[in-house]
Amino acid sequence: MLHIHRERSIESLLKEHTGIILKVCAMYVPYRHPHSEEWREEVRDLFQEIALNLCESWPQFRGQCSESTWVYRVATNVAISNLRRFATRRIVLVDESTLDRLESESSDGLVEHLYRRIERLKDDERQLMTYVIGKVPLKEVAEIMGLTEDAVKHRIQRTKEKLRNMKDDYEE
Amino acid sequence: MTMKNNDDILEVLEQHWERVDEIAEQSQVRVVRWNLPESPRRWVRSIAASVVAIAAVATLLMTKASQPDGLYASNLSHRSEAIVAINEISISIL
Repeated sequence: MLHIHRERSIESLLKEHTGIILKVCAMYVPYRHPHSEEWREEVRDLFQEIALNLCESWPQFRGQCSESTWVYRVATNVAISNLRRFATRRIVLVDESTLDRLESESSDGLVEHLYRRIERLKDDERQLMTYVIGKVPLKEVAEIMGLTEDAVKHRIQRTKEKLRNMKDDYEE
Repeated sequence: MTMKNNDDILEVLEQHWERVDEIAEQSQVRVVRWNLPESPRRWVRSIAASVVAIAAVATLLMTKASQPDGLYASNLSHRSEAIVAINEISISIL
C-alpha cells in the first residue's frame, strides 16, 4: 500500500498530473481543423471534467496502484463517457498558451495522422493505447481492463497492427 | 502515411507525449469558483439564476474562510455539486 498524502491541495494534485490530463485530452479530442475553436472548447471541457473527477475521486484513492496509473484510469473513464453531457460549469481553467502549444504539437504532421487513426479505434483499443503510450505497467493495465497480462500483450500487438494498416481518410 | 513497423507508431507518440509533458510543466491551471459562461444562451441562464448564485457563492466563500489552509481536493465535491445545482436551477427556471 502506498503512502497517500490526504491533505493535498487541488492545485498540487492537478499540477503534478497536468501532463497526463493533457495527453488524454489530445488522445480523445483529436485535432480537426487549423485553429479550431471547437477543438479548443472540447479540450477545455474535457480537461475540466477530468480535473473535477480527479479531485472528487481523490478521497477514495487507496493506493492500490501508482498515483499516475490511477490518474490515467480516471481520465480515460471520463474521456470515454460522452463529452456532450458535460456540465456548463467552468471552475478549473487551463491557460490559453498551453492550449496553443498543445494544439500546435497535436497538429504536427505524423502525430495528427496518428490521432486521426486513433479516433477510429474502438473505446477499449484507444484506452489500451493511452495506457501503453503512457507507460502504465502491464500488470496494472491488465487489472484495470480485467484481462490477463498475456491477453493485454496480444491486444496491444493487434491494436498497433490495426493502426499501422489503417487507411487514412484521404486515401479511401 | 506509411509506417515501417508497429513500434514506429509507439515511438512517434511517445516522443510526442514527452513534448506534451514539457508543455504541462510550463502550464498554469487555475481553480476558480465561479465564472460566467461564455455563450449568450448560458449567460441568459446565469442571469436567471443570479439571485440563487449570489447566495451560493456567499456560502462557498464563508466555507472557504472557515478552512485552515485553502481549498482541498476532498472539499471540492460539494462545491462543484453546488455549482451544478445552480446550473440546474437556472435551467429549470428557463
